[in-house]
Amino acid sequence: MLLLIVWTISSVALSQTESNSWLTISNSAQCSAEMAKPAESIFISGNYRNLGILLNNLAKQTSQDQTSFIGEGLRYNKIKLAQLSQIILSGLLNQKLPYLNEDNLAKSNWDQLDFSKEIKNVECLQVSEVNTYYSNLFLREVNADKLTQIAKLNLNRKNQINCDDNNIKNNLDLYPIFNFNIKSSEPQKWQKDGFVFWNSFKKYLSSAWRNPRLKNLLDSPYHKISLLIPVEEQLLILSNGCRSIEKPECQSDYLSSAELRTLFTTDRKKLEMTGSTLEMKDQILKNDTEMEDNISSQITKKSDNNQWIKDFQKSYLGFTSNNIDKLFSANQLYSSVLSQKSYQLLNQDLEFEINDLKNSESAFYLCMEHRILTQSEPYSLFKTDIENMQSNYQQIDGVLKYGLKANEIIKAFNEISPKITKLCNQYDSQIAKNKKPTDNWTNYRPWYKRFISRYKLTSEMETFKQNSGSDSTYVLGLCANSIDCHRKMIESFTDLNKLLLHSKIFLKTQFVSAPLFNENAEKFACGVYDPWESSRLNKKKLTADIASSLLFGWSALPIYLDVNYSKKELVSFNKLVENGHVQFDLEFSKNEVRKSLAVNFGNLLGAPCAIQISEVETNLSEVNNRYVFKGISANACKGSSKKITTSLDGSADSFQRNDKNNKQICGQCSINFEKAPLLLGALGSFTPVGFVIRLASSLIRFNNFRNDQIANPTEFNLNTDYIVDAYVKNNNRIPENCVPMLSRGLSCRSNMCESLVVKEYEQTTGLKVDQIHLVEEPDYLNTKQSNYKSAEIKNKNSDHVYKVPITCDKQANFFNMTMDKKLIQQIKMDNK
Amino acid sequence: MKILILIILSCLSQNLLASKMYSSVHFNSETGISKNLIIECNQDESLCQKTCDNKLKCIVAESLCMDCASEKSHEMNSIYAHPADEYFQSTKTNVSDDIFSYFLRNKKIMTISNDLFINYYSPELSTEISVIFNNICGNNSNNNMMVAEINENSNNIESLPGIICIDSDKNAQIQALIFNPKYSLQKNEFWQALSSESEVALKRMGLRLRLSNKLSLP
Repeated sequence: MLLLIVWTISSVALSQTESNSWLTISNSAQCSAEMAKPAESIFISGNYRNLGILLNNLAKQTSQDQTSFIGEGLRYNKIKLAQLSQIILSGLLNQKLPYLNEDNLAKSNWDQLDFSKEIKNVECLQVSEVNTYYSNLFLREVNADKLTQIAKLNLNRKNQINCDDNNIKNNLDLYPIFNFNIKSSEPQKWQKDGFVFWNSFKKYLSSAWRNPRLKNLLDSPYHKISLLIPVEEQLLILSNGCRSIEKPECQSDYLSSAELRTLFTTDRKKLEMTGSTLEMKDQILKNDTEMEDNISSQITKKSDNNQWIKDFQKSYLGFTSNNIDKLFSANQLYSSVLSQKSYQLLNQDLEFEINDLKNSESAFYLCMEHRILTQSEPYSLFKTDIENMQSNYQQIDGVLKYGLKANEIIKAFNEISPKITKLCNQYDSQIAKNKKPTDNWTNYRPWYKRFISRYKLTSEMETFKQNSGSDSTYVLGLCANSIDCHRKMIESFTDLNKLLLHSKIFLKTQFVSAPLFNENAEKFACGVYDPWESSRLNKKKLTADIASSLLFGWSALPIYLDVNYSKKELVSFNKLVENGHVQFDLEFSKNEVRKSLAVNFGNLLGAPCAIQISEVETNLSEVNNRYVFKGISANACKGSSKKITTSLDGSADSFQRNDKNNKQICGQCSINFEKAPLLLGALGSFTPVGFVIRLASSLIRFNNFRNDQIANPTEFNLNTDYIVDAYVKNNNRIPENCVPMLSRGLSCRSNMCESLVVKEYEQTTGLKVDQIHLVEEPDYLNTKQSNYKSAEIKNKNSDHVYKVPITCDKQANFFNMTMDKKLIQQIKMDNK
Repeated sequence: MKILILIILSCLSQNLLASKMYSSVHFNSETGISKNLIIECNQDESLCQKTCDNKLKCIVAESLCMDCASEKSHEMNSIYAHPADEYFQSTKTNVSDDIFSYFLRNKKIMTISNDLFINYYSPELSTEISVIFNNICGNNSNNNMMVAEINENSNNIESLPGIICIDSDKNAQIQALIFNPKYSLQKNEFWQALSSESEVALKRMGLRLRLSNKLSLP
């Protein structure tokens, strides 16, 4: 696997405010290193679609000219945003507004702010081609095309429009983008306070929007209209370049904001946020180059009029409303059921129905669905979340005005859940005696299918839709019966969990900022990606992969070992599969599984694996003697001495690398199994091999990474003046022969030696070179490789030609140029 | 107290409050947007008199809800985003003109019609929404409106306590509304509480009146 290098531009827009014309381009490693620093340039992307519709309705009802009325209403909102943002940014930068911490003082500080002070150190621009900023984030290399783009960007920049009132036009642009650039006076302090700065900015903007205080804003006829839609729902804050608005942290708020990237997908099926923290973290480890390509291609394809961000914003709106609907549905379901049935009654009904043979199949689904949600450690996928939910529900309570609050829903689930477990255990023992009902994939609830399908090998996951069930006659027509009600309540509970995890990005009670364009944001935040040392990085990646896999407990998803296999024998994984000792999903033919394992495991498949089997106590009757996969651990070798690098107990904390100097991985592994609880053993319908595959691929990745030098942070300094110059001189394109020079920050000349001379000369004298001629050394030996010995230089606006001694070989491997002080003085005198 | 409740919950067939009631929205390039509830009364109807001290016509300034044009507004979302009968139910009890006029005079209110301009969710569904309003009122008028109480301080929607049902002759009645009938606990609570509140206010006013009468005595 190749490591993709992403060249990125850091702080593109800022360079305009500074007088120099140097542009720093970083590769992805350098970009990640920058992420820990607070941004000094941001975009605020507006989404006025809903406002537009509202204004349109209003225009019709009040007999206004629609086009100009909507345009004027939008213009007011844009002016308000630009003015308030600039005042707040300037106030924060110049200590007129104090930074905000936890206390909610935004309003009183804002109320006291003196507007008469001028705006300082803040630049506001209207951006019509935000893609040109971001398209550079996907540079894989500095080539002619990319340099051409940079040239265009810099030419356009000269025409950029600031945010003065008269520059903000009456038009129907529902998706405006503003670029704010600030200049912090003390870099050290900024590094420390920058994130608090942006957080304060968000809070002040929320407060000021509702109480703008400025006369021109308050007196506008559109003032009241601008308060109908919560402003936080209309704006998204993005950083310009690699630096961050929010401190990258490995927590659901931050991770979910990065997950917004999913909205770039054109595949509606993928428009689903992760369902649990574990899944969220698991996603981080996925190298989603497909997504990256997707974003990159959308941005380059739809470069006109910010088309891609319009599309993104539309998806975001749809996503928001979809999630709020889920929240209200969960609230409605729980509130309604519990207003009609007591827990006791619900349980009585459930017991009756589960024991009724005709419900055997739906009871089976109920138990499967419930079990995956409530498995105890180490099988748990949701346990951490369910615990977190108990302390984290307040975020969504503000939205739930009617019926049960979030914590009451959680309480209700905790009330019904143990009862389901109990009845399902009884049901299991019934099944053990009778025949297991045939389960049909389509009959599982959609959440379950979606969840499981993430870890299935197959791509042919059909519909996630639920088969339309029988008539709903139970509890005011909400469910078919008690089993159905319980299944729906389980599903709603997973929705609620998902909503809590992502509440910040879809509830939008505060301004949302998202690291949309930095593919390493989450990896960096979670410490999986360390940009500084490529070797350390690789090991860390591997460690994190294995550790997190263990931590995530995918062992809940069974790969079985036939217990007839004799314990603690060293054997290759391949052999285990071949001999049928390791069993997979019954739906797949053994060959299919083996094929995909071979692809993913590569030659690791043949590596020897020790099998560890542990006995665990189960309270269930021993009708089944299968063992369930509990984890895999890798052994690393150095030279001939083998050292264990992983722990076997499945917890991440105990995962340690003993040998710091490991140079390679042998690919030896232990595969651990333990006795399966009964129902797990009965699960024939799915086997997510995803875990094993991911683990294997991380071993392979480790091998590939080892020799990769380019993972080190690198940055290049380009001179935008030279790039623009070359672009204009060559009929609006950058020719190939200019690339080596321009990418080294040199001007494009007929050869590298000339470029180097020009740079040196211009830097020393501060004058522009007009013409240059290099003089070769006499080639006595006819080697055709003679060096240049001097340069003849003519300045602009001067007839003098100056001769400067140099040494430069034709490959420009060696270059030396020393200008005599007298000559420099002479040149400066001549050109005064 | 009992008598008062009887008044509020009087039977459906009587108690037409006004001969005409509608909401009107205006936009003025100087003063901006204004929304008013306009009530016209016949000689024998007292709502106009009680609300505005005018026998025949009354204009009540409505408030505009803040932050309510949002998916997060449970009320707006239920009315416009996925209009459905199941979210609403009329109690089939009328609100008396005393209580309603007290409501109009003392609370910030906003009427919500099937084609309210705030509906960005589904402006194309105004006919469907009107059918739902008709179903709640049990009439066929297309002019029915819900009425929301707006929070005094935050200007958010506080509750959705009633529906103004306007029959084919444009006569208006106010029916107490249950929002989320499948689990809502509030039946007539809102109007009962308002009735007690007005009673207290009346008493206080009476007391003040008597006091001032006393004081003004020579």
